[in-house]
Amino acid sequence: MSSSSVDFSDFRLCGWRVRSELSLPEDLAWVGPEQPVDIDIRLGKVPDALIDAVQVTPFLQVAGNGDCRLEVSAAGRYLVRQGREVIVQPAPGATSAEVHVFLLGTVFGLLCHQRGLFPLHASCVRIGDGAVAFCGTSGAGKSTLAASLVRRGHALVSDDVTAIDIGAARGPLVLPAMPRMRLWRDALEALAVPREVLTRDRIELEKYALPVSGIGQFLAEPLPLRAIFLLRSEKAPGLDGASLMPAMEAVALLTGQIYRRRHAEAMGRRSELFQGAARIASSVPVRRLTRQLDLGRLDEVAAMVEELVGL
Amino acid sequence: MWGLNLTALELTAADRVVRSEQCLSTEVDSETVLMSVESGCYGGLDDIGSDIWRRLEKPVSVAELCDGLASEYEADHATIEADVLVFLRGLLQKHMIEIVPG
Repeated sequence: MSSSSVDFSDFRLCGWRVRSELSLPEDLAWVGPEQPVDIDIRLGKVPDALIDAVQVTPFLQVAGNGDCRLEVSAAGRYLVRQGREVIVQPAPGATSAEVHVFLLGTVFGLLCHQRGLFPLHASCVRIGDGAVAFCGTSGAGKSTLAASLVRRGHALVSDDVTAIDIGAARGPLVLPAMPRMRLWRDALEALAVPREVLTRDRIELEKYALPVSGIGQFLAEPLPLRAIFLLRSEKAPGLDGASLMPAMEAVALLTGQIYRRRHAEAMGRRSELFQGAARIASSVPVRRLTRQLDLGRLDEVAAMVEELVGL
Repeated sequence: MWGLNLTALELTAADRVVRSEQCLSTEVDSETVLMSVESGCYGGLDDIGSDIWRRLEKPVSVAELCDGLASEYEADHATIEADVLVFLRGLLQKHMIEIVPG
């Protein structure tokens, strides 16, 4: 990691106060007011297997009480308990970057599920006074469009995973998670961000973790969710467009885009998440946004999004 | 996707039906959205479909269901029963409702 790290300190994720024995990126340092610790991350021994557990993937076990055990040979073992505690046993020789990728990825998703949130696989930007989320398959341009909107002066709320509190009284709230942007390399070049600002995130992916201070401002306050776009890229030239999705399609889309959905279903959240998807679909417009696979036209798509959101 | 379900075709007004436990349902605006846990398939119901769905929360005979609908909708009983049977057979085939034995 390029950023320096602090040991035995407090960090923030989604407004949670996270106390960690494991060093985390400095840009996640807790700067908020004095409040009780929500989540403890500790170094320790993780058992070979959980008792009474289902093997959800070759890497993940979920126990009857919702506790999860993740094992990735290059990074190590992670035990995630009750949304409050994470035990990390790094693999011999694992770098902190390797340990962080899974801690700030899958483990973060598991914590969201254990804490009753709706983590959507989406990038999210503040437009006006609300949050706008972008879903889509890998390569559809979520992060790229988010970065383009940030460059137009909007603040980044979440990248990669958008944590939504569906229980909030006045409608779904987005809880900003971490100030990193993951962009495809060609997209970065179109945005003209100097390559040396970046650190490689995961060797096999042509993606980089970009400290957000490089291109705009990161936001920490919860924001009302205002709209969701499903991105679809078209290679063929033609008009870009955005159509409102019918309720059923919107619920199906949102359910399908839940981050670490199989893990959550193994925790028994299927019905809760389905209800959550319906709550989101009845609260905000969900649109399918088709755009051409042409990075030179990013600004036009960004402007269309601004107009649709009513800026 | 689903095999032909003979019970669905044989459904009559005398049968009692209820929502299937493996079917999740929720309302979005005035629409009801259904999801089959087993197959992961989705379905959507309009206003009248949603009304019928609400009446299927507890076991009810098809005849009783039609009586209730006839008192609220302006259509003759025979038309309602024919439409309801088609609707319910569709839900049965997708395992979103089930026939209550006995």
